[in-house]
Amino acid sequence: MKKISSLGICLLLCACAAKEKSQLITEPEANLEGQGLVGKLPNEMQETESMNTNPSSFENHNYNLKTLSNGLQVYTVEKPDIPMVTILIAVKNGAFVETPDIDGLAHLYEHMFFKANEQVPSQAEFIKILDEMGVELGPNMNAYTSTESVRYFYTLQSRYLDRGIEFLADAVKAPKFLQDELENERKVVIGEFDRYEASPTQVFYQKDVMEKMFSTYFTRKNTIGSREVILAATPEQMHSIQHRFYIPNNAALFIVGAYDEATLWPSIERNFGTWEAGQDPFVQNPIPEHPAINETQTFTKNAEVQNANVVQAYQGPKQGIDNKESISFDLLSIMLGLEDSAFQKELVHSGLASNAGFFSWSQRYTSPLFFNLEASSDKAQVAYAKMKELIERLANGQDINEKDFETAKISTEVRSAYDRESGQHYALGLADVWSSTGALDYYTNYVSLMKSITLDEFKNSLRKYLKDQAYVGGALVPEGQAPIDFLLAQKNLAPNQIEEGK
Amino acid sequence: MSEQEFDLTRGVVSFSVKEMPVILNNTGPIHDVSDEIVALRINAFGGVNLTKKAGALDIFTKMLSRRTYSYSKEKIDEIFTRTGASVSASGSFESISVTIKCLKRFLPEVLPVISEMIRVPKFDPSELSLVLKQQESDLRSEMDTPDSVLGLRMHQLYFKNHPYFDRPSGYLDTINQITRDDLASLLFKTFNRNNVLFVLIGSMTEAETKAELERYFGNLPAGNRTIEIREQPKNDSSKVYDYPMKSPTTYFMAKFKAPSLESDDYPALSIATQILDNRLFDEVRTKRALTYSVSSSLGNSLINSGSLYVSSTKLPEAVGVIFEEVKKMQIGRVTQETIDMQVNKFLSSWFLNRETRASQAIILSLYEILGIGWENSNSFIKRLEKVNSDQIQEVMKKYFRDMSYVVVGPDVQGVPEKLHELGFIVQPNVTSAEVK
Repeated sequence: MKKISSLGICLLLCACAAKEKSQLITEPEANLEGQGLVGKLPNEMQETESMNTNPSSFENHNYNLKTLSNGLQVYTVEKPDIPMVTILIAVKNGAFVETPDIDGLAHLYEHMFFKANEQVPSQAEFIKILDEMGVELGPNMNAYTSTESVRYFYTLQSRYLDRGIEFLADAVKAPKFLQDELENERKVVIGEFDRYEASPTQVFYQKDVMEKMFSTYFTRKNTIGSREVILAATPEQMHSIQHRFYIPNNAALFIVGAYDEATLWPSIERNFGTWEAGQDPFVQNPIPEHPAINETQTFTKNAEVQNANVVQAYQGPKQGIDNKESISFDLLSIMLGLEDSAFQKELVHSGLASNAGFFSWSQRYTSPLFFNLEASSDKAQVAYAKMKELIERLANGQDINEKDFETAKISTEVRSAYDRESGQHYALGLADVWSSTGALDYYTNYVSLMKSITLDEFKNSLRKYLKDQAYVGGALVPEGQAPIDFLLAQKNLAPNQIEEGK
Repeated sequence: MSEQEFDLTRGVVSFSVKEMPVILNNTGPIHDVSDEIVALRINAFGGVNLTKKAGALDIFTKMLSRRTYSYSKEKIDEIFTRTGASVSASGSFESISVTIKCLKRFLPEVLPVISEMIRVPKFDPSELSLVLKQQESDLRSEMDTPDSVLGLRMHQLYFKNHPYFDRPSGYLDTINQITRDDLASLLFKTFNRNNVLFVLIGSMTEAETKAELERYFGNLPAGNRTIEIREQPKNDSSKVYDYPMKSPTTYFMAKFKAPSLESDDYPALSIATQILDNRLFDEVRTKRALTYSVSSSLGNSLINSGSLYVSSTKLPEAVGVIFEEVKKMQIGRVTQETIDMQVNKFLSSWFLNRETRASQAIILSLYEILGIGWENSNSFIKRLEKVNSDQIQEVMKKYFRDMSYVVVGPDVQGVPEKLHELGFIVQPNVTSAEVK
């Protein structure tokens, strides 16, 4: 019954290329609150899908892993509940590899995936083949680009599995990047850009806050990219991305659903076995770690919004490296959402804020940690001061009790059962973790690791990342409203830790 | 496995508990999931016709978990979080529902709470005040993006002078009129023995189900079954309604009346809308790069509608292409091969929509709420298979007309002229309004 954090939605927004479904439902189908695949308004599909980034925590994972001779990792999960199968390919690409000169090209590439290749002469033909396999763009097929992954998938009737594998292999192995198709798609991506910029809240979280948090390498967190770079993109740049990243030893194939083992593997070998391996893209060009935020920065932005959004954001742990700490912040997000938490009581129940929460976006290259609130203009300043006080208390180990800690742990474990009900959902979750960490260990060990975290370790994690750490304080407020006085709110801090309005 | 082999209704039984209808699908275990997931959907018939105050439905459903006779909101939240229960309550135009997904082993902890939520919620005044403020905040935020403004303005235009105008979420000027008495009245009208339907999917026997439902819901009071609204809106299709708004791109929606799911026209219109959707993607996005997002869609409500949607910096051109495609389908024929391919795509979606227990519960509920009967929930693909090209053309002519048009964004110029030129509006008139 809780409202999904708008912050989570804004941040996890992944660019999707195939089709943004704005349609109402044409046949009675699932449209659970916060879980619907097809929403009544545009944007909802990609947003709701993206919400699932926490790993499933079942320990008895029954997946199989085989690695082809070219290095392609193939994960299979049998799920015969319905005669459908999801075929998904994940590539370690995304914003995290992007320097300013290629800012947004991982996303543009993802759009170009749906176009001509050596076997399919045009996008029209591409879509015709999907039609023949009973695949509807949107619900049955899509692609997502995020900071640390690019995922392409379709869910089709199992009888088309062999053809589906061949079709995906053709698209990934030999795209053509025709000049005219690229020129058109650049405009389409700019259309997506326009829609993103029409939402002040999305721009605030994705650009304004993130740019200050990761100022040295912001492009490595900026999935949507730069207009100028997108408009100037060439087929040569696309081919360069292909040769660097779209190689089997930088990708993983996931097959989840109902399939016949005897025909599956020959099909995979036949279609993906010929994919030529390449040099590990991260050996020659290692990804730099994001430098720590040296000093606190605060800013207020006026925009045509009705309510104020205020955020205090920190740099957090690295998924796949600081695993206990990453999981600790996942637990914190549950604990701070509890109605009985001081966070909810003192911010929301008190009437200061209409919503308040915490969100940890698990990433290999530094997870951002966000405390945020939404409040009416007249209460935003006081609400922020209260939020700041609550964060300080958390950093000092206050407001945390064993009961809430255990509740969050049990909740996480129990809810993991839901992840595997939908094959498509499950495949997307597995691929997301694989992309960031290169394996599924984080996924499979999640529950046992979580259970092993003690309350002291949990408090230590909070202390390590929050106590006396520099942060980014940002506010998005209605036009005409005075800036949030971050300085007044943090008068107990040393002046040299504050850089107002930077 | 074909659709015939994969029968959603196989194993489904219906019975009553204390006069309350129950639909149960005692499924087997989910492959590879060791814990049993159970989905329970409690439906109450009637939606916006239950109250004259727009917004009361949303406030009502939000207040259900805020406090009950013996549980504080903190305790309710703690139980749901600890058990991992996913509980959502929502009010729509035609029904109110509480959907619960949880592991079977936690039902003894979760059901007592749900029982009190729908029988003895407290509607505490201080909580009501808080919820109203949060609703006000949400409604204000709705004005932040052109997409949500488009949806809002189209709703207000399309349902002007119709009971559905009073949408479940309400409006800024209506929600503060909602009182505790309104909520108490809604409770009596909704969750009574003669107005509810239980749908349960999971590994539960009939005996187990009867015992649990009787224990926790057997003492719901008697009442009346709510009669649904069937009257179609009288929409204004004479002009384009323009809502200027600062935005990098302009948003357009056209909405048309559509038959509901049980109608003989519905299968043909479903396929026609889908074919049009594919054509729009191809013509507007792929070939001309006029947009990122374009669609044609059809709903599944009792008072049903369909819509055409696009956002573009070259809106007149994009709108022109959309309506030219509509005309082509009204004049020309689609091949049987095209129809068959669409049916196959519906079959894929049909399977996917039956994958989870919660989605099965929703489908069975919907067929009951629409008055079609859950037994017919398997027939949709068979109905689609009978559609031919004559029917596609006929529904395109019959329903893609007399639409309502809304534009939100910086530039409406040229859109009315384009619609007039193609014969969709009589005069190229624009009515402008500031977004409040």
